[in-house]
Amino acid sequence: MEKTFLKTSRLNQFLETLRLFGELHGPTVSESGVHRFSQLHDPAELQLDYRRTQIPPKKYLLPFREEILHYASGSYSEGYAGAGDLVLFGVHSCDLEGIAYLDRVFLAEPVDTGYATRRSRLTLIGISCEPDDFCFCTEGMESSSCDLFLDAVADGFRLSSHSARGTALLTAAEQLLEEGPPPAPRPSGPRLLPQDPQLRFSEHPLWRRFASTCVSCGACSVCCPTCYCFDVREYPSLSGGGTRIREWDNCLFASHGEVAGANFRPDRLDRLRYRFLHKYCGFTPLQGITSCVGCGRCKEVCPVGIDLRELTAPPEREER
Amino acid sequence: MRRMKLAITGLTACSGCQLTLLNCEDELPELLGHCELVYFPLAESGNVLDVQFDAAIVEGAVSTPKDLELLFKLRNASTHLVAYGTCALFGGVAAMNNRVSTRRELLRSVFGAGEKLPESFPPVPLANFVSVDAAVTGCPPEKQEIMELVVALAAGTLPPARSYPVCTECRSHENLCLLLEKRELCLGPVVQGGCNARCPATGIVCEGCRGPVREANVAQELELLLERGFGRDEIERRMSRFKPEWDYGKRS
Amino acid sequence: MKKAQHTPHIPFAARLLERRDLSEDTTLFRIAPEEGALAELSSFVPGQFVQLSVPGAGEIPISPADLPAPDGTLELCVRRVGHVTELLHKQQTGARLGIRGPFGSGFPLREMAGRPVLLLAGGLGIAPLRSLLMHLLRQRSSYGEVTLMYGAKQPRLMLFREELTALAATGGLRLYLTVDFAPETSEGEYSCAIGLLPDLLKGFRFDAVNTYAAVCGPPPLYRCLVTDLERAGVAAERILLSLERRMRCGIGRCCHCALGQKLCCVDGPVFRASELKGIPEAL
Ligand SMILES: Cc1cc2nc3c(=O)[nH]c(=O)nc-3n(C[C@H](O)[C@H](O)[C@H](O)COP(=O)(O)OP(=O)(O)OC[C@H]3O[C@@H](n4cnc5c(N)ncnc54)[C@H](O)[C@@H]3O)c2cc1C
Ligand code: SF4
Ligand code: SF4
Ligand code: SF4
Ligand code: SF4
Ligand code: FES
Repeated sequence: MEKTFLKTSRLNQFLETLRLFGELHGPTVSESGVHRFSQLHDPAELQLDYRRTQIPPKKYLLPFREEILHYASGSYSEGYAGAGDLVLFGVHSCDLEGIAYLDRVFLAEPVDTGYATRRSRLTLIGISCEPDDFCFCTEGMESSSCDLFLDAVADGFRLSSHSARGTALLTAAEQLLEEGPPPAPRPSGPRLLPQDPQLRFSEHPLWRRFASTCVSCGACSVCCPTCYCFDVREYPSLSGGGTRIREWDNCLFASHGEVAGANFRPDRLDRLRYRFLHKYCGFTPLQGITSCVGCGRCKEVCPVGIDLRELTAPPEREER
Repeated sequence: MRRMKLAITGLTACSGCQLTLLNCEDELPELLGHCELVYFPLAESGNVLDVQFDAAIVEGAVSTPKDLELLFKLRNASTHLVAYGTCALFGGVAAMNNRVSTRRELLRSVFGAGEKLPESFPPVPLANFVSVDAAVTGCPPEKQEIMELVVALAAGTLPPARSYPVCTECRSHENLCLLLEKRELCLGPVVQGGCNARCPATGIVCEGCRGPVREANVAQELELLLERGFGRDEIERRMSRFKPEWDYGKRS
Repeated sequence: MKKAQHTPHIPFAARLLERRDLSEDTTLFRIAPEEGALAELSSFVPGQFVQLSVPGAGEIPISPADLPAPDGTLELCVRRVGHVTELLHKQQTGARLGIRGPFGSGFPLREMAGRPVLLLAGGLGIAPLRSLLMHLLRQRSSYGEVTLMYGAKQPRLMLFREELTALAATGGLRLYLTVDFAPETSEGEYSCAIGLLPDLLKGFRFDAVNTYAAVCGPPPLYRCLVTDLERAGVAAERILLSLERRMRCGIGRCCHCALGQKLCCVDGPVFRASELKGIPEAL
């Protein structure tokens, strides 16, 4: 029997061990009551029973706004400043799968330098969770897209390693662990089934309702673990240099589909269709792969309660 | 390099926008190397009006014949006319009561009955009279945005546009949503972002000081607020604080 | 300075060598990319695009107007429409620019070999098609008949007119020019028809079964031309469209350029009309 069981009483010591591998971050709650991932100065800050953070862990890999290039004395140079080692503790399976999806986008050729460096310095420690009303993941699925996964049971956690780094973590924490049966292998997930692209032109009455109520606030994609599209803007400096930034964007904004003199997605309905297509059907080269990992954030944060998944089910009877 | 000739001035307004510019202490010295403040009465650094300007940065709404005269003069003399601040763009605080009381009543209450009233009409945005080439919104505007504009002008272009509502930055900074979680009267969804959600970040609702975002879904915002139990009057009063006219039926 | 290792988002430096105004808002820029960019650029296929950086303003996709010259220099024909192109147009020779690319897919040259080619350009659409045209004319014997139909709003907005008529005079190119609108003073002088491209196409007899058509122009042009070409007997697989979308990254990440499930910057910008069937938002 391997030593893979961590008693709850030893969790704090385990967290201290994790610090050896980088700056420790985990789920906490802000003064105003928002759940978020942030640095864990004190284990008491840890909110292990959190449901979902407002912003998914993508913020560690793809910051909201980032300087990507600097222009000075005649040439452009890398704007990305480098990253330190970071251990992210207590990530749910949906968010782990979200990162796995972003990896497919940003680690594909040509590799995104900033993303790749941050990713290589990020240690991911997953944890099992209890779905709430907003979640729509398949229960019992567990993501293996992490270094170490903690399956919470009555008096502790069953640990399973999914990478060499995970194994190194287990070794480093060996004296805190006890023998126990390894967690039963579970199907890796969760992800929604891909949808038929033609569904975006369906007669579903919700299309019109969503198009008239969406306020294009951007919250759904800001908070989505797999929304990654970005805008790029450049600002000159007085010295003749410049800075190019990239910033999260949203396909529900009017500017997303514009070109000089035309807009290929002129109305909100077109933009919702586009969003549907990207979320549930995928673009080159991820065509046929749905990116929605079922975290439930978009529905929870939408001021008008839009849930695009409802469009994948046949309309209900009483719909006018 | 030729220094850019600038005019900076205010019409009917509080000079707050111009002060924002003066408060850019870090950048001003270098900026002055690139531009000449030919006309900037507030800073007492130039009072020449009869030259050709590269840009005129104009704060405030238009509400007197004198405002109008100055505005026309600057328009004719400038390559770029910049509407600077919410008043210049939407009427702003000065125009808040345009819809509820007449100009005459207002003037009476300020100057007293019986006094000779100054000539004035309801404050309106610059664009009601002249074409505007660029805009910096905010009451007061963000330092960063006015600097972006001036620096881009000095470089020979305009800064890239951004057009997302306050909510986008608010959510991404992990603030608590006051509209959803506390059912407060927050105007974030229909208001132009770029302020890093200053107010919601400190727990205060967005009052809309930056004016409407592009394609604001005003009808839906109204519905959202009515659902939260606010009266139509209160909502309209709040919405019109920085921009008197909203089309409450508009969805895109 | 340390040479930037080649990362996809860092532009190579390029110098502006020469500029020639073609109309009031359109200029032909000749740029010299630095050494490091040349190897990549030498693989350029007509129809591909580059990401051109104007320091301080940003980056825009541009389809080179010709293949790179033997000395590695590149011609870009750019219209002034917004904040980046505005600053570009203010640059004097010697100015520093940036370049990445080429990106996307070009015209399927191998497949087009031996076949007649019909180029249809509307307005600025001539810019991307010019590189194809130049290639066809340089490899004249490898292709069938080459025809260019080019429509502009007004005679003075017609780009490369003298150059094109000179090329036509050599006999290697059949050239049809048309303007939507001709001011009185210019009649006759330009030897171009008055009307729209589709009108020109209607009266045109050609070997539709074998012809490859290459189309580039403002968005509304595609819809009617594709229908007309198909009606004339050109198979949708052989109607090649060079499309424009807002592009931010050029390498399939920013998601601004999607049409249906395809990304214009990776799968395009040259598409076959057949690929776009069932994507109503494409055209
Ligand atoms: C594959 C490809 C090839 C191309 N080839 C060429 C070529 O050979 N030659 C050429 O000249 N062009 C070409 N283009 C088009 C060229 O890329 C655009 O004209 C260029 O990107 C415009 O950039 P800009 O910054 O100057 O304009 P922008 O400042 O981006 O503005 C362009 C227009 O859109 C409007 N606009 C932009 N952003 C907003 C906003 N947020 N809100 C409201 N309005 C807005 C502006 O008012 C302006 O009218 C090509 C495009 C593609 C995709
Ligand atoms: S969160 Fe809701 S209202 Fe906001 S942009 Fe998304 S769908 Fe629209
Ligand atoms: S689409 Fe919604 S539920 Fe799916 S991953 Fe994104 S935020 Fe979560
Ligand atoms: S669904 Fe929309 S907001 Fe999300 S990544 Fe795709 S394009 Fe961007
Ligand atoms: S608090 Fe206001 S600005 Fe922030 S997300 Fe909520 S509605 Fe938008
Ligand atoms: S330009 Fe960024 S995805 Fe195509």
